[in-house]
Amino acid sequence: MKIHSKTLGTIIAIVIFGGILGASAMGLWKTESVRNPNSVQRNQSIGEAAREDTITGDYYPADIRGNHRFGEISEMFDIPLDILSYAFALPADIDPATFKNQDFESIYPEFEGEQEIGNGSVKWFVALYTGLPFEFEDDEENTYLLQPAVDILKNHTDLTAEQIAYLDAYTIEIEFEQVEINTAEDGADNNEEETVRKQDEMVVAGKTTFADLMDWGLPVEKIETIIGGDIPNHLMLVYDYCAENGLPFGQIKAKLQVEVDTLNP
Amino acid sequence: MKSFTKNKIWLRTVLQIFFFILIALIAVNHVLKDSGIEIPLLSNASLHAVCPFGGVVSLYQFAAVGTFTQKIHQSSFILMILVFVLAVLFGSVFCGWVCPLGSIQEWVGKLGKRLFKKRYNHFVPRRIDQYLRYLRYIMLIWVLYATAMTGKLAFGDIDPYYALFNFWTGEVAVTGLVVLGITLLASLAVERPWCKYACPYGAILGITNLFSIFAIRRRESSCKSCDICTHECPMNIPVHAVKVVRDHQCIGCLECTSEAICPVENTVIFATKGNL
Repeated sequence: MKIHSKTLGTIIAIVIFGGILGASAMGLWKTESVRNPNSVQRNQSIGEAAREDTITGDYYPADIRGNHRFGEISEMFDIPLDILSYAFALPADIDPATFKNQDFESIYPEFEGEQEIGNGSVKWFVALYTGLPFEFEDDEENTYLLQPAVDILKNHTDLTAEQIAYLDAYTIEIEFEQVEINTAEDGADNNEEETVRKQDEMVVAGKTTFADLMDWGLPVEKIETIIGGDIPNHLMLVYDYCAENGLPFGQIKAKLQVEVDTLNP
Repeated sequence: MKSFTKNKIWLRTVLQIFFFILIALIAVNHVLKDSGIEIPLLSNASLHAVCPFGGVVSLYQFAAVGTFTQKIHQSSFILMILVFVLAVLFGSVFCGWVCPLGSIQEWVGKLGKRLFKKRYNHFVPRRIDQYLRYLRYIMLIWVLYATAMTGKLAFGDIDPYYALFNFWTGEVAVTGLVVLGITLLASLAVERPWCKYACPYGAILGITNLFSIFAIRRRESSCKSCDICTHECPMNIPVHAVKVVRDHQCIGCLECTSEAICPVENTVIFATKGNL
């Protein structure tokens, strides 16, 4: 059989677009990933009571965009501005009311890539804080929260044990010193807390694989002692291993972190 | 007998332009999504989600632990399968008809043809070139190995395809921009230099040329041995010297066929085995 260029071109277009359409019809065409689909869904609401209190109009966390200012988000979701500022450890010289989500890159350049603080982090925080439903988008799969945000969520909301464990897996632990700053904008002696961040690059977190631990110098034997078994595959997430084997990720993570810190002082 | 006037495989050009614009708009839409302004009816997926090579580099991890390599999604797997279906049928036509990086090299090459005339695409001595053509398999092995070992996109920082459509976002590694720059510059002298010497996806698709159902075939009985098919081939394959083009570098562009440049009707054709 001989084939003409017009036929070949048509077949190429049909196979590609027909294949995509067919895959879409079968629900297989997914251009986004749900992180750890077998673990706790991060879009779980945190209770009807919280939701009733916080639903404001028709806004949902998914509506939050990179060009939204913290001031707007505060109004949209009825979250105090100082809570947002503290949660995301905004430096004192930045006005939280005018700070845009897309500006995270400039203040947290180190939190790019595998552990990202950005628009997705704000959406996630708002969702958990308000109890509103939310799903991550494609480029938000590496989204993390800073420790202050997680502390607020743990203290302010009724998170389940599973949700807390999940949050712990996606927390960037930062050391921060609280510094009193006189804002004095309204003539009052209001103080805000400034957070000074120090990032530890070798942080055991939800996206850490056994391969990462080995890269950081941990011997296989040491890892296997801590997890109490053989490493099934070096590409596996430590978090997934713990979930599959019913191990407390928080404790395992802490033990591994101690070893990592010892090896990399 | 036809004259030596070249007929355009116009549908190939149309598809190349279409896919180039489509991918460019998807890349723009992906960035625009954050500002709340999106191009309607168009996907805002990441470039990784619409690249079939992402499926290839994720195969090991998917088989081993059931997850995708970072930034790779199920859509990449679907595209990988669709392109493999095309490759088993027609060889690596994806490279010649769809791949936007291949297309832009070809377009830059048109300028190179004007600059260097007959020297264009003949700068690299054949005895060296024949070995350089296997570099892309080394690249393929390295990409697959490094991705399997780390679970991360080892290729990401040097990927000229990603750099091409994201250079304006500030998210591209300098190495990616350098590789893109070198590729485009080299395209002025050599047709599709990235495809020939470095593309890991082209390497794997090229293997299907060895057994694809359709292939470029030359009818010896009517061939006038004018060699025009060989001169026209962007990948420098000696079409005039073989009955069937089973070269791993063929991109199925059909520019050597009787439909395009061969002056004798029905002599160089894209066909199945029984046709000759």
